[in-house]
Amino acid sequence: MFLRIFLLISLLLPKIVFGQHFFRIEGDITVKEKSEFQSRLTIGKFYYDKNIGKLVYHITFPEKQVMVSRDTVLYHFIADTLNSRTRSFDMTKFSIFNLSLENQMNNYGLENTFYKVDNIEKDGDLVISTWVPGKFQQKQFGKVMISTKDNRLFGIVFMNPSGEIAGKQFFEDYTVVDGLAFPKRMVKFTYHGEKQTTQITTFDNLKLNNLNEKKYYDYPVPVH
Amino acid sequence: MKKTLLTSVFALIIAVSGVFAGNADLFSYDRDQINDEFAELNMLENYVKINEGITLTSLINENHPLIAGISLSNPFAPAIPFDEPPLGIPSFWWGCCIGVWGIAVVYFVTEDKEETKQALKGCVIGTLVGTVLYFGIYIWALGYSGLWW
Repeated sequence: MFLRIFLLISLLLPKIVFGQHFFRIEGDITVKEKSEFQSRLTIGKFYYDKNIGKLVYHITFPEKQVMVSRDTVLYHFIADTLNSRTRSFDMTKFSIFNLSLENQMNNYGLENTFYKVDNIEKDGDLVISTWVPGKFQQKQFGKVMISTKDNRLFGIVFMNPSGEIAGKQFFEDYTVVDGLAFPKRMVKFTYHGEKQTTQITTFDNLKLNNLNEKKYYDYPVPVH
Repeated sequence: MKKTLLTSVFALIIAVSGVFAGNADLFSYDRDQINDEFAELNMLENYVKINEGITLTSLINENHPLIAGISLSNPFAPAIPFDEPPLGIPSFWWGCCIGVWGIAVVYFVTEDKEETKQALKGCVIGTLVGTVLYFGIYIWALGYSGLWW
């Protein structure tokens, strides 16, 4: 009898632990970007609920505004009035917020795409996996290399179809909030030929599963 | 023979380790250099965080020294303008009036998930309304069928 209960608990324990469903994340966000000609500083708060599927940014600097990303549409509000609607790539699915809540940080969510693992190697304290796009996507997409350190996502290198490095991203200064590891700093390099854009994103005051801020997580957007 | 084999093995090990070392090198950058490059933005960030509610416009109006050397821009400049639904007719009505063909028109013209969803909604509602009307008229016609003879 005891053996059966023990076996049942052993089997269910990972589910119980990881199934401690994290579905909401919020915090302070600061984005600094620098390229050859201009700089950007954005300060605000972010709210993401994976069930609602909206990624909401309440920006306080440079100007007070709200950005909402849902599917492939980016809504821009000033003083709660819709200012513009633009089409963008799906920012929510591959956002660090969704990836961490879905526990897909280690492979950057590539597991559920047309990318397949081509090679895994260990070099020093890094485990590097190389992902290649499917046969039909190889003209548009290049390979992606993902490194993990201490079983946490450390860096990503994006390549274009001709094998040149198109960008790099680093995930640093991990903090653990209620059992969920989250990087407090992301550094991203994007290369345009000889030119380079560098972006540093920092997070602070992270909170999980806050049930009291529905108005922020489900910011109303127009149907049309 | 032994010497040749040994040399080959050493050469192979060096070649393989060389390839691996290259991949790890991809995952590094000069953190100090980046921090130096971002020094001005870091100072501005600290100032903005201390002075809650301050905006770029107010800093420009003040001619604040912290933004003197920085060319700041709005981070959310629209990249791709959002298209109007086809012919200006709402996507819902495309699906509602011409069904699957309406969805296809919206999908291929706007290439937008949200608009296509609206067309799909229109298609479902249009089909339901059409079915109800069809059977309603059929039953109504059957009721009066005695009058036909």
